[in-house]
Amino acid sequence: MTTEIDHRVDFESFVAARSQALLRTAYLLTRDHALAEDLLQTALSKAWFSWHRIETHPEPYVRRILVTTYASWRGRRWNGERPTEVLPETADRADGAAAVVDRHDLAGALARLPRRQRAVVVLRFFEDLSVAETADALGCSTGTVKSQLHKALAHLRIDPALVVDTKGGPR
Amino acid sequence: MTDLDDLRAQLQRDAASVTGAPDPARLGQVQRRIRAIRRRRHGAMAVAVAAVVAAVAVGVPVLVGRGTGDVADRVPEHVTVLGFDYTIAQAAGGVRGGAGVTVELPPGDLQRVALVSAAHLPDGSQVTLFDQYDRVVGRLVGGGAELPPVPIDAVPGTLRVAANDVTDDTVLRLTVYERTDVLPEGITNGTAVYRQQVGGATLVEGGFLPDGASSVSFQVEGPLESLAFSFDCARGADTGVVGSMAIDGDTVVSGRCGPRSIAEDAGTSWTRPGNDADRLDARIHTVTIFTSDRVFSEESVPFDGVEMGVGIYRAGPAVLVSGAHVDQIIEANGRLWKLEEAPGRRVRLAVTETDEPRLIGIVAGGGDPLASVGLARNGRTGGTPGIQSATGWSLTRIVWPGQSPTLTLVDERGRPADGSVLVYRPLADG
Repeated sequence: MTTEIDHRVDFESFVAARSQALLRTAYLLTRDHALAEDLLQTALSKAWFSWHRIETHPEPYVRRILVTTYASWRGRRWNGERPTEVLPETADRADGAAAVVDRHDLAGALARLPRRQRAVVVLRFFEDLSVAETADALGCSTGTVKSQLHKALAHLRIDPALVVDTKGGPR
Repeated sequence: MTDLDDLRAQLQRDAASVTGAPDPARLGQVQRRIRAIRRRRHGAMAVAVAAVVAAVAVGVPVLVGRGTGDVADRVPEHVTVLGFDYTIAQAAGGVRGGAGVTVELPPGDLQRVALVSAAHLPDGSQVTLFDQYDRVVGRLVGGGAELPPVPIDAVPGTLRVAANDVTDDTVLRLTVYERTDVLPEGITNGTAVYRQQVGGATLVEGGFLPDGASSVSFQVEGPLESLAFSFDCARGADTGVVGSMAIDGDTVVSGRCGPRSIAEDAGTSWTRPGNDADRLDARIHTVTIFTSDRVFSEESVPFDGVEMGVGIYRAGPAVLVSGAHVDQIIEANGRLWKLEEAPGRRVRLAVTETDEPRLIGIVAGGGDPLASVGLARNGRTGGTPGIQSATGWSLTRIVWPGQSPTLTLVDERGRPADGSVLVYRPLADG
């Protein structure tokens, strides 16, 4: 029989072991260190109330809370975020400095992605989840994930045809 | 045009801005958020702590107020009552020669207990704790150091300690504690817990309905007559949720779920299903709790936001008094009590000043099952709840040291009634 004390020990161990990795995901979502910490703590405190059910495999559940909480924070001010539908065209660069400039462009473009699209990108290409796992984490259909991913890559000026679902088969 | 490798590399670079070891303050901040969420969830609750068990002071004693170096200056930071942890919230007193102490309880949603301590209390003197309704809820007599923590209703008001025959050296202190989020051992969903031990009963199985599910089952070894069930449910937004419990396929409890969360201390309302012969035959029983849209419907229906659980306990020792099985060990007023005697329908109790308090119960002894039976104190009725003959037994009041009442079982017209008075004494270390 699992007791409250067992739950607490497991939970504290999980926070100690995995919270820094989850903080990186939270940062990629929020692009703000303070908001990332806030988001992580919110997700962990929510997870505690379901700990008796998830303790054998908590990370996917906590990650799901993280992204769904992030997606639902509509009323918050997001420093530096300026969502736009279409990114401005930029000139091709062939010199050595171009890569650095591109990197900044990509970082800026990521920061400008709408929230759900950014979540899809982070889960697919940072967490390396399959389309099905991403859909599960976001609580939506795989079709929604694919369409969000398509739009996100278009915003990032990446050919959506490059995307292969390495875990869940063809996208 | 960039490609996916660029994107992955960019994400890794961005993530690398989160560096260093985990923030050591993070866990504490998460725990504070958990407590805040729990308070919000239980904000509507103003439930009196009706039954409380072994009260044990633990933790490092702390000095509060103006120190006199006496026992009443050193109160514990934490006390444990019923397995629940309480932390110090308010303290008053600590002055030599004081004959009274009061604490103003602010509004709050946390369960509270009060601890009365005294030093240099002469023989023959009494220290009495009165609650917000000016009821006596605790009494300390000469020579004693402190009362076990006493549960206090979660409503604002004045707690008062009054003492007589004190000396200039007597030091009184009244300390109020609030419940923390540390739950006792047992089966928990994070906010409610079925405790491992409730009175003389021991938890053997149980659990909570998973999110989104409409039923959950448990296997438990019989015989049924040895088991007691604590079943409760709380609905979400849908007001039509019916919660039911079935044993071996037969629904034995069914009713609409209430709007409030299951009490933090979930294992305190008992159901003891009948002992049908066909259920007694099976050694292993299946207990199922489920939601439905009609009372005693056998078809489970899922609802969002439902909180439902059952704790299955092996009942403690009981004795047969006037045809009713009466628990020998019970919880009340912050401690465990053991049945001392069942002296019949009339008894004169003489609880001396140096004796322990007694908890009084009544058991109705047959006759008209709808007749109300109550307790008369020194020939006067009123002030104590009665029971109907068909409902078995009940607890009524505490007789404090220094009181010698004559207690008589009477019907609603004050005439002698069948049955027995039950006298419980505090259990040692309880």
